[in-house]
Amino acid sequence: MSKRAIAVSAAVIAAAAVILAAICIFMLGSRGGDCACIYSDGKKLYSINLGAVTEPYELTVSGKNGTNLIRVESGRICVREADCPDKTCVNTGWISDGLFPIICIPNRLEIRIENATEIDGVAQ
Amino acid sequence: MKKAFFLFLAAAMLLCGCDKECSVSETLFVFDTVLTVTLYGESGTQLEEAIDGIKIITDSINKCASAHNPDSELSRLNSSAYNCDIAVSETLYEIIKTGLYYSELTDGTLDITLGYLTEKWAIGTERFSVPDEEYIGKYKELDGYRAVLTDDENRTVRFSDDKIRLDLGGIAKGFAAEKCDEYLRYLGIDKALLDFGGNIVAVGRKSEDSQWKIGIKNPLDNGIFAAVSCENKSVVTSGNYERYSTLDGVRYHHILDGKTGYPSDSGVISATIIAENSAEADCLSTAVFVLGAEKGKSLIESIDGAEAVIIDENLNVTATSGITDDILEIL
Repeated sequence: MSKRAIAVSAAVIAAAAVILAAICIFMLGSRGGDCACIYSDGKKLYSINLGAVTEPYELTVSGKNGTNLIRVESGRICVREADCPDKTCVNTGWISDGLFPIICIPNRLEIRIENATEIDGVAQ
Repeated sequence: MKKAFFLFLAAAMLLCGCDKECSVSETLFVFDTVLTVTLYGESGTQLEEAIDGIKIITDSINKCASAHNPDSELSRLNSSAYNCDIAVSETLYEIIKTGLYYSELTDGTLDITLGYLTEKWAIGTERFSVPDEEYIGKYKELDGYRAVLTDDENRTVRFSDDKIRLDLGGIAKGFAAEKCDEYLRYLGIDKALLDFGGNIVAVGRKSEDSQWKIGIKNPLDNGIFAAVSCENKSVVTSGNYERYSTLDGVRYHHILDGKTGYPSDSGVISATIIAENSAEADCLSTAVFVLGAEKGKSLIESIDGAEAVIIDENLNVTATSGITDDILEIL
């Protein structure tokens, strides 16, 4: 391999490393905070960056057998009201990490915070 | 110039690692709980098809083994098997035989014939009530699992007492998880995480460098008490916090002790089993919860390939000899 080819190879590898580093920095910088995903009957309806929430707000999700009123604040999320009979979802309270989801079985609602923990699953 | 382009491509591939793995995740509502299935592989289409297969497996097991659905095959069996040989499906027969095996192995500590009691208690539902002593006395007179007679050749089930009712709640989820695990391996999918309402199956390894890390819920709050590192294992916990009802300030949890007829009072509030077979882990976690820490540990030590992490009401931990420091991390 000629000296010129070696110089070109080195330059190309250096350029690729710079580009990759820039991509990594961009991706890490854009993560912001934990992401709360709201599913209805297994289908994702919303994906909310909790770290980017500045003003609290509420949204209503209509499910299989009724509705759930969800409150979103900076870094946390909960079901404030629901018309299900057991109110398990309301009683779960706020969640702010990925350990336990909020589940409403009657209305088939699930709120899960994703990519927030090194724990892959929880036996319970 | 062409040479430089290929050099650039080679360098980019080297730096990016050429990782082709993709994942598909789906949430299913079956067994009165939530199942979360995450599959990993190189073909998204294959993973999507595998999810469809898992839906079919779990739906069919739920339809045949649910005690709450009056139209299920189990409900029909419960209402007609007294003194009569009833032919059942292959799936239901296999669940019943597995349940009977663990009922015998645990000397009735896990008993799949608790239906007569669980129907009356109805813990965790609006129908909850505390049965009177007379009712519980009638249950205690029964022969339990010994009153369930099976015929392998004709695949029939018969009850020798009119009060026998099967309740497969202590095994159905684990059985379904095991069948899904077998199905994924048949398809060649060797990395997956199945969460069947807290019954976990960790298929394969998380990565070349690391195992799956499965948390054990703190039985006293919403945190994680400990974590278990594992691969190709099922991790199942029975806890007194899962489902309960409260009356006059007394909390009644849903794990009944067939020998007393009341919710188990062994001092254990969380029993976790780590085993290769999820149905086994499901059955044994209930048995250990009811047996208590000392007897539960002895039982699990006698079973090849199974390990236990048992937490009592003072948060003391009892673990079997195979649970080493690199497997269990108390958080």
